[in-house]
Amino acid sequence: MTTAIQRLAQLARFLGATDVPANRSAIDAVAAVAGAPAHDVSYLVIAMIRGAVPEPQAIKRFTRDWRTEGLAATIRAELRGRRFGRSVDLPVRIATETVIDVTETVASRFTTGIQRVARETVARWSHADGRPLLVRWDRRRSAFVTLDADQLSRIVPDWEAPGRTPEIVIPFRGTFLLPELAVDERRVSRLRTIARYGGGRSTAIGFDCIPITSAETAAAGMPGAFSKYLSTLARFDAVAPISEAAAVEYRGWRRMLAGAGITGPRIEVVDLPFTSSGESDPDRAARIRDELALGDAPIVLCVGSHEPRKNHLTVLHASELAWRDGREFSLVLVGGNAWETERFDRLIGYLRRRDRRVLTLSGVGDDVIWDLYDLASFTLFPSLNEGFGLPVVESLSHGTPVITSDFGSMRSLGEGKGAVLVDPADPHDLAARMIELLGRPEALAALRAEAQNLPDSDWEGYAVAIQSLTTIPAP
Amino acid sequence: MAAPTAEITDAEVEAALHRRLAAVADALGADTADVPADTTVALLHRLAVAVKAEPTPARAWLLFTAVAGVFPAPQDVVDLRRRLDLSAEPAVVVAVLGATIAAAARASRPDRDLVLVRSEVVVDVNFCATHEHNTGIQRVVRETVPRWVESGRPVRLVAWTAEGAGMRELTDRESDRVLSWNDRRFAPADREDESGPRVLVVPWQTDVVLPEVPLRHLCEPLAALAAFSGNRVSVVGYDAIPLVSAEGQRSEESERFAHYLSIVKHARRIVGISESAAEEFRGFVDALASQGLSGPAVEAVPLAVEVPARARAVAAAAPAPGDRPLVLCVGSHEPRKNQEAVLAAAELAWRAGADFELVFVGGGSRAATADFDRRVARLQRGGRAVGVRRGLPDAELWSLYARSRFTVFVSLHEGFGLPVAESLALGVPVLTSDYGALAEVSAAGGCVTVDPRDDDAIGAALARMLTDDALLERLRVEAAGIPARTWDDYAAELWTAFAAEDLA
Repeated sequence: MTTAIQRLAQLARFLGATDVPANRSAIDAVAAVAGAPAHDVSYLVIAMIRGAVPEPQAIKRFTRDWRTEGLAATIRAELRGRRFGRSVDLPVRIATETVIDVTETVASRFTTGIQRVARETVARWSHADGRPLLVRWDRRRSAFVTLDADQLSRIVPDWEAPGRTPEIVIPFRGTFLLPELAVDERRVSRLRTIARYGGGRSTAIGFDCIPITSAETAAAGMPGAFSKYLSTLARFDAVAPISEAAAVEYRGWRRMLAGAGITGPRIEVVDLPFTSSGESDPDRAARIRDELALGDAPIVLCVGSHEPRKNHLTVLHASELAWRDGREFSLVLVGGNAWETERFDRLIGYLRRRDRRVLTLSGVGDDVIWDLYDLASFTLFPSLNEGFGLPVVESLSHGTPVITSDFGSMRSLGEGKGAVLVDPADPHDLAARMIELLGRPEALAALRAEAQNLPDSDWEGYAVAIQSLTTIPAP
Repeated sequence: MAAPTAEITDAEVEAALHRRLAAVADALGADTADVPADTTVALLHRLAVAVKAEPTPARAWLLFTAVAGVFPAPQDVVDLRRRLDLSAEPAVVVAVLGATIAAAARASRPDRDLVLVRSEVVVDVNFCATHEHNTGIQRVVRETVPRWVESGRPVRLVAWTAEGAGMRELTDRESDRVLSWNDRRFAPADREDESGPRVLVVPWQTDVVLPEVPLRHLCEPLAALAAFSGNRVSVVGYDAIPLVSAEGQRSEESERFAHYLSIVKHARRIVGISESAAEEFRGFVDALASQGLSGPAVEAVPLAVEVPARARAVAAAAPAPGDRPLVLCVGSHEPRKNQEAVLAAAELAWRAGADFELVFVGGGSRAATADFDRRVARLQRGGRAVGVRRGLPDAELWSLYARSRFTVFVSLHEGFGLPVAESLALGVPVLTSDYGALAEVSAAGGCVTVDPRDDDAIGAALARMLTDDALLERLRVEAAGIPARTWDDYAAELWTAFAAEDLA
């Protein structure tokens, strides 16, 4: 538990004052060492008064009052504010080291996609310059707080627990990394404060701009929240898109910023590594084939959540065309997190009534997915827009060819590496390529051979590239 | 809303369906000569077979519209094509009914007729037709579209049925609202009892112009129209503020804009109201490559700036010599307009010894204005000559321009910057922002530009414009020399831009 006055005394000491009493004369002590009016010092003062990173609007106002009324008077006025001169139940720490916001990663059960990027990056962080501080957004406190031992172990099991109670963190003049997506409105506004006024260097990993560029496929509420996230990224120093396709989106968005007089972050692609986390195990795979009663027919696999963008209706449509052409195969769809599934469910029902071998799985373990990649003749991933088509990489790294979309990240990940490219809006195009792969083993074999020559990249290289990007000074 | 369906009989519903199908039969190339006039199912079967034989997205879009009496969403078109593709010929009627029934049930009335528009340009003026609101976009529409009509352009104005089922003709009152805003024949009223004409207006192989930013619930059918109908959609691009400056916007506004972009990405052409606005949409178009789209051609046609002759006459009166100089700041009150920076910069200038009066004019929500008004009141108590005028009649505003030495408009983000252009048209110099649309409008002369995020720069420019009479005189001369840009110019250039067959 700390009071605003105690925190102001802490701030005065941080700014170089000595013999600061923990009473109201701490205000004058801060004023004596704060120097000329500056937004980053205003940020720090308000943050310490409130015990949390403030919203951006508070800072301009504070600096303006500081210039005309003086700092001590402005602090006293701020302390009189209804909510602000409060006590908080955690110690507050001014953090000048690297701070990494892993809010969603800590909260999530998922180990794939965005969450995996954050985990793999943080786990490989070089501690040569000290260990980074991992924080999460605490909605109840409206503040960034350090992880407790349990949360820390979920992100980086190898790290020793810090062995202290959580602290509220005020990043200041250090390095800040956002390795995940942020859409909570209050959190996003505080991230904007840190990037704009925190006096340090901020970097974000950029996954895609799909909620804006393909809003018609986004869940309700997402495009609005994502717009606010982007307006926060506009104040970052650098964004590292995970692929060239994602970079094309971020560069287009950055071009839009000129009208607001904002340069925007540097856009520096750091390609995600071309690796699979799955280990192959032929015995286990054979057991899965039995357990799922998949029979002897070739398996065609489609991995991904059942949402409109993933285009599963076209997968079902094309599969039916292939079945009508006389091909025999089992279609296996793996994916949870489903929404807008009414048409999907209806089409599945239609296929089942026609005795098509179609199996939908959700909530299965990662091992089952790796085994299915090994068992499949080929996979389908005709998505309408992807920042990084993870199932393309997973499939190819298991040596399994994939039919995917002929543009964007899917094209660049798959072309010449074992992928067949199609127009995802055309079920007949997709069906024709399925029929070809089902009917011509030599075509499949040629693609399998291509998939043996995948680019050599790993998470180590990715993490190093991200870490060095966070420390490059602005040009 | 009253439900007219209670009085409509099944026979009437079937007759209307029959008429809608007959209205599109020719466009779909279906031979219906031998279909008896009273067999709607036979007619539907004939059309469905024709579309199944040549299942382009446009033909599926038209068939859907005729059967449902509702314009489809994008997924509706895809779904109908899928069902037709997977169904055997004897079952196509079931496929079509299955694909359209849910949408048809949404329509507020099931007895609509349908008329195809094949040679006129369909102009969607839904908001202006149905709302009395008149700022920004509505002013552009109400100045431009009447000029197209008067000069004999082949346009067909449409609004949407209340539930968004489809495009329809305008009522007389609605035409009045769009075409005769400054000389109304009917008394202004926001609510209307009449439910609007019951004929759907369906563009077919023609141009569709969107001079407004559509309401959220119309974005889906308009996206389907742009992506699938085969009509060429052209759009006026106002700005990307709800996306780029989302931090100061309601989330619903940003959400709506993102769905608007789902229309834009399938449009053929977008014409920005400034080079800056066009540049924002070029950025969006750049981003589309990642999803395999090339997006619309983008160009700029700057808006017109016309001030009433009466305003010019009033504003031309010179400030009385010896009066304390007046600085005027006009614009709606919201964080983006940056009035707080003007106030802070003025305080810096006052403290440095400048003597001037500052007046803010413009409305705003209580949330936006409460804190600001408190600050103004505090400054007034301290003896500063500062005031806020909300809800000011036009005539009083013009006489404020007449008394002003210059105006200040240092907004953080604009699509065009009308307050700057209007001040210049009234002969009053402007202190404005040094980037984007405001830098563009200031390039004609009469302005001093600053970084609007730098209070010191604003304060220094205020002080200079208050003391440097030679500078002010030069700016006044520049402002007076800016050639007028009329709505006639804008309407003609916009039409030319939309009509151009191909852009470099």
